[in-house]
Amino acid sequence: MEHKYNRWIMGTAVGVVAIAAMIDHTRHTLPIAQPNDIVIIDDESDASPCSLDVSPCSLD
Amino acid sequence: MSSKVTTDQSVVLMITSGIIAFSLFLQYEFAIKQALLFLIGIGLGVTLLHAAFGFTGSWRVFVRKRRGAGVRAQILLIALTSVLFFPLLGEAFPELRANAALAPVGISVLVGAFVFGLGMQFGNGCGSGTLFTVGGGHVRMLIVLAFFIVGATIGTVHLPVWLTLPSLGKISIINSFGWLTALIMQLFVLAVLYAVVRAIEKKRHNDVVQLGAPSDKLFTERLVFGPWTLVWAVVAMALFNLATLLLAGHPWTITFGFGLWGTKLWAAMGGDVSQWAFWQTGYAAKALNGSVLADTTTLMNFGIILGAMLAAALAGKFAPDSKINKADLMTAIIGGLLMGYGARLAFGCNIGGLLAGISSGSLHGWLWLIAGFTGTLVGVRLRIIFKIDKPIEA
Repeated sequence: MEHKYNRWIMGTAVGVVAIAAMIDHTRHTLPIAQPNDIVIIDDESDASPCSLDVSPCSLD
Repeated sequence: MSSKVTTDQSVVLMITSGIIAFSLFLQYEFAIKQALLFLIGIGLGVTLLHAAFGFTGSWRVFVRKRRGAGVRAQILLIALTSVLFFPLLGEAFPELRANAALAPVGISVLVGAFVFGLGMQFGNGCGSGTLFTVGGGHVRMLIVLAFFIVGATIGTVHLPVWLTLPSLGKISIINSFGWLTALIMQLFVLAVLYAVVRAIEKKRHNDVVQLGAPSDKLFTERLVFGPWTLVWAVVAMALFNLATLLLAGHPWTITFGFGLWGTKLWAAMGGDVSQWAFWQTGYAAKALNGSVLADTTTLMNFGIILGAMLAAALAGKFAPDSKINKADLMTAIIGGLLMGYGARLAFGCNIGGLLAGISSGSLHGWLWLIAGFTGTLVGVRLRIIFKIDKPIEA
């Protein structure tokens, strides 16, 4: 009984976090889709491993 | 004779579906990098749970019983991660660039790591330990995590004041001595530390617990259902950390995400965070103003929790029976708050401060180790005073 109770608590927690994360995510403006006839030059610099301007482990 | 594992099939199915769906969502919404970082988190969660690789328990066992298998495994992890990180951070491969976990060697780290080391003995979990035990379905650890987030958030408010206190600044032994000399020096110190821990254990018990305990289970069975040896965990964690460094551009770190979640939640409830200096510049500002799913530490933390859930379900250990009494509740709250606040002051927990710091060649990581272990010594003593543990037997 206790076992099932704990599973419900964990399931609820995961559900609440998922909803909260999605609310936060959708509050931010997503990029506007470009029409297909426009040639897009994809800037790869943002996808490089060093794209973070400052590491989150050494913030000051 | 191996014991039969009762896999929790419904949970395995749900978690696996969730992992696949979320990975695809991240790839679609952001890029393959975010999906991969989430999957690295999954790998770390599986590793941590299957090997039960924690800092809190192993430090306490070493202090109380002089058994040092866990501590020796941590020293090996730092050594192997250093071997992988130093050449990269020392620009031995100029085409691969990454950021070290450099932080100032000062009062903030000294106090923060001490508070964290103390708090982890009350919370009964460190940064990584809290995440993987939450994933394992331990309800008490949910409370620890909630207050860890509160503590980390308060820490972001106070950190600018702490940083006005005396500090020697950022000191990188890689920059000071070159990566090869620095690596040799670091491995020598770690070898001495390993020998000391081993000697203390041998002196007390006349034997030493092996890190790779043999088992009659098949390799693949053990790999999927656990338990893993500490040696497997060390190798897996070092490789996952290297993958994080290459993909995210910084070592594996946990507690930045906690402060971010707390601050976002506070702002969502109508709180004013515009005066919180920590969040006004650099990566922190970018993270606060962007989607929470764009933050690498958040993705990896989610991955660790889900990975640990998957591993626990595979091992038939998910959401074990437990009752939380008043003492459990109090220690969870106090431990969580202390760990969160301490981690922010110390520029990370046992992962982002200790492991990433030392493995990046930053001197603040060594200061973290000394202060954090001292905090644990006090924490172990306080556990006895508050009758959480029995007195240490001679």
